[in-house]
Amino acid sequence: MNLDRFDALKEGQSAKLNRTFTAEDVREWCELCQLDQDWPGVPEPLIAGLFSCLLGEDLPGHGTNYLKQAMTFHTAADTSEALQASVTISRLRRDKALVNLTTVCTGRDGRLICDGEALVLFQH
Amino acid sequence: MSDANIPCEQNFMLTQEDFDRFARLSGDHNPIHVDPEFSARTSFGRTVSHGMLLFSVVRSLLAQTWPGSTLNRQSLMFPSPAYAGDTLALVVEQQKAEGDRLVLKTTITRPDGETCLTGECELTVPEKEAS
Repeated sequence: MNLDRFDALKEGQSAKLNRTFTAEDVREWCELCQLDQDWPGVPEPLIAGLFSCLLGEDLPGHGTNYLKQAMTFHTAADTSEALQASVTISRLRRDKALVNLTTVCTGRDGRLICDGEALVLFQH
Repeated sequence: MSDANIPCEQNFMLTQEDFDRFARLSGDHNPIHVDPEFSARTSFGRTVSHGMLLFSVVRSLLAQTWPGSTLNRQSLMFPSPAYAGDTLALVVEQQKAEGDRLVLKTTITRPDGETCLTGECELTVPEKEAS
């Protein structure tokens, strides 16, 4: 088990991304999962996808093995609403190469869309 | 199992094209999902589905079964990877119903019996839909 990259992680470290979903994105998502309905707002899996994108691409980054995600959805995000997703390391368990992170998505004026927690394995 | 209350279930198959489309939608272009040559050199041996693409299939079935419902919370675990071309079985079991709230257990299983997704969610269903 190579922990060089794990050892570079620090509790409190965070990563963010900004994203605005369009009505076309939502139509594409409905088509992808064969859902013949108009969807009001942004589907929750696209919000969840922002966290998985951050975890896999940024923090911890490539090589991340996504084990768990828990989410509470406070209000539906609107299409064309500027969203900011963030992940923040809350706990590092070196003996098991596990990383716990808090995950938050906010919308216009900082309103809370979704919050939750992720658990990933990060070893090489 | 005979006592399980299963309001809905669905068999489905994902393709590399589905992985590519979800990568474009989510911005997650990690090679383990979209690059077959890279993935062949990893321990997985081939590309694997985004976990949130599996969640998308779950969410879609929930929306079809309980139109107009609201997803309040969702937990997800991804014990084993899901591959393109496999027939995957999604089963939704009802754990609890209280007023207009439903607690459901969701499971996606591979042909070899390994679990790709397991989760629990809480839905608020419109009054007339509540049992």
